[in-house]
Amino acid sequence: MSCSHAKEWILQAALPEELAAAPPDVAAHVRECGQCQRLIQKLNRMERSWRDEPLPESAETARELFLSRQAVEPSRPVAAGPRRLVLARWAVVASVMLCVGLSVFFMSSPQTARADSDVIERLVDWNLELSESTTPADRERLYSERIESLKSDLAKTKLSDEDRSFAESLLENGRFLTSSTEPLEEAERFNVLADQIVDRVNIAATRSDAVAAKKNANQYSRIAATGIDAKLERELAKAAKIAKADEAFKQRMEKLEAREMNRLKKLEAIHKNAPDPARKEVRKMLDQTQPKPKKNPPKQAKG
Amino acid sequence: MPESRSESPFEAMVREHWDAVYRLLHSLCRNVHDTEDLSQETFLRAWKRIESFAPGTKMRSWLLKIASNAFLDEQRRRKRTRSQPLEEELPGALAEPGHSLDVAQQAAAIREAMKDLSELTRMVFHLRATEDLSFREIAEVAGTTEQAARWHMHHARTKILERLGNSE
Repeated sequence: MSCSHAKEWILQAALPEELAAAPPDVAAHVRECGQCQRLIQKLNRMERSWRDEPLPESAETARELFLSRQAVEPSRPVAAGPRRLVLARWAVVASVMLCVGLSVFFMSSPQTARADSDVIERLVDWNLELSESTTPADRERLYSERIESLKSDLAKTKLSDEDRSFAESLLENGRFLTSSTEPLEEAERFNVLADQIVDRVNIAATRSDAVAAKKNANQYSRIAATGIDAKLERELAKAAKIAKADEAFKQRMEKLEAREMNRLKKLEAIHKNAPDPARKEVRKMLDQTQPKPKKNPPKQAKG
Repeated sequence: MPESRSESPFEAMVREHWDAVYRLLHSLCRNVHDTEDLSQETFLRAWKRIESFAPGTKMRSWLLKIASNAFLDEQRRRKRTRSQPLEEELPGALAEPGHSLDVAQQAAAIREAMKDLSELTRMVFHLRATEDLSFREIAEVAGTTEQAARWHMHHARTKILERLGNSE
């Protein structure tokens, strides 16, 4: 056991409670190694100083003000404004994520099975983080920071053919995102990933695998919201602002929408035939894929 | 003689968990204004769906999940409407007289390092360091898997250690 191996374990452990349950080789190394003991102490100090950060003084005042405004108790609070309308749509995502959290809690599948899906979860997280980074330098940094560990974890992990193919697409999409400067092109790429997820849900539904259906529904929600919808809405708003929706732009938007419609039809077909537990997840995906009202349709340039 | 008012269940919930919710949101928003708005939003949402809270489970984790969802919703809304992003306030706004310089410097270095981390990574680090949640509980709050939460913690610790190394 080398320091670097022990360090890898320490950096992702819940300290100090998991130290007692460390693998024997790690525990033996840490007992003997001053460097690793110092690392643990440093992490403990670091986390304590974060924990001990005082709250801003206004926190208490804000609480009292809030409580006084609510009078004794709010009677089933009413919507606080237009923001609620937007939040309603996201409630679907929140509920899917809650289901996924609960399913992880209740899952008693072996460690290897969990690790398999973790690589894919991390690849999805990484893709979305890359897509949300606004500067090429940030994307480059995020890419180079994670690519090696993701690749090596992927190589070590046992995956089914369809999982591996999806993971490879996510890796490839990550590479593409470092070179992309065009949101529409990014939305097109995420659209392809969304289609792959629909195929994966179809497989899960056929196998009556509700856990896999939930996981895929969660990934679908995140990719559809951050990778596709947010970019399309931003581009539409931009086009409306400059009132310059040229033919090429419109064609690309139409193509994207047509692809979404095809996906909608495919999901409807899956929904019709899916067994009960998977059907609920497909219903959520369907809700998310329904055509959205266009708030800022691009105006046609005159002349 | 003034009659002492008994605390309503809503008030009791707010008083018991306000600091934890506020702290998480402050680490995510990094400004007081949005933190206050979203803290209030969190408790209102929680009260509205209090029937969905499962007795016997941790109310704090449940509230922190609602808070993290409220933050993500707000962030997406701002991205979509291209309105101002959640803005950071001036560094050192949390400094407190009497707080040891060493600890304050370390906390400032952590705040700096946190700027470079994604929201999810910040959330995982905060929940582990401050709330002492297990990685399984963190995964539930953050909507990810236990293994991914560990990986985010690894990433956060590595980045913060690098920053502390540079500032020492």
